[in-house]
Amino acid sequence: MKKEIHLNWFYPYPTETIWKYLTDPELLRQWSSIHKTTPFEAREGFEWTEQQKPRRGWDGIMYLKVLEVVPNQKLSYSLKGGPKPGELSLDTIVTYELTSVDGGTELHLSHTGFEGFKGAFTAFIMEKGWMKIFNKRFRKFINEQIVNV
Amino acid sequence: MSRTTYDSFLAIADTSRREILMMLTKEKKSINTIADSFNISRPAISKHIKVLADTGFINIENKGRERVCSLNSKGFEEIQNWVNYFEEFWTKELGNLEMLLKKNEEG
Repeated sequence: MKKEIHLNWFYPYPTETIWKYLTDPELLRQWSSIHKTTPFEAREGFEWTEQQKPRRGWDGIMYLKVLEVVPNQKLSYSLKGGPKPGELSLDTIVTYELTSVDGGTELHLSHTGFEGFKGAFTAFIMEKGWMKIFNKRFRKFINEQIVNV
Repeated sequence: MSRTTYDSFLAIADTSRREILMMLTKEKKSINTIADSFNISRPAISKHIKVLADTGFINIENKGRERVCSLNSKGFEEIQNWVNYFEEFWTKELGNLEMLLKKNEEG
């Protein structure tokens, strides 16, 4: 089961340009759906929310908070959400990393630490005596669902 | 009226519900058999079972007078759906950035 998202994207522009588009509130508003309502501030601790289309188990509200800012290199923030305010079952981290490459910039986006998922699953698997009572079939099933990334 | 919607994570975040899933890894069990193994009230067990059924972790079938529960992989797939959802979401975001850059920087 895939538990992390990693995307690589090449942009034929210098890292400074990409950084500007990742952090300037006016530019962000033009391309990013998570920066439509609150002017972004690229500083640690900055918090904002953004409404997305709700789906099953999620009211569509993203709770975001800047964790790390390394100009022209790295920007990360936490992304939380859940079925209703106060119940944040989704607790994840989004990171943008920029690398200067020949002819432009490589952007690596990762969305990791699906703690709501992983925490619950770990607890589920590590439960006392769990492995002993596993039958072969379900062990295979769990392997397919969780261990394979 | 308003029904609490549980997602897959909340569903298995609860100890009793995980215990129920564990019991079902061995074999199918009736709701009565499950309830007998717990010290909590039958309505509470019924609610847990309903949450697990609603989130796709178990199936319930009627066998005579008994209602029998068995494991279902759908709940686990739902979690995968979240990852898929965000993968698509970010791909769209990065594509939008590319389009704006093209428009602004090459104009």
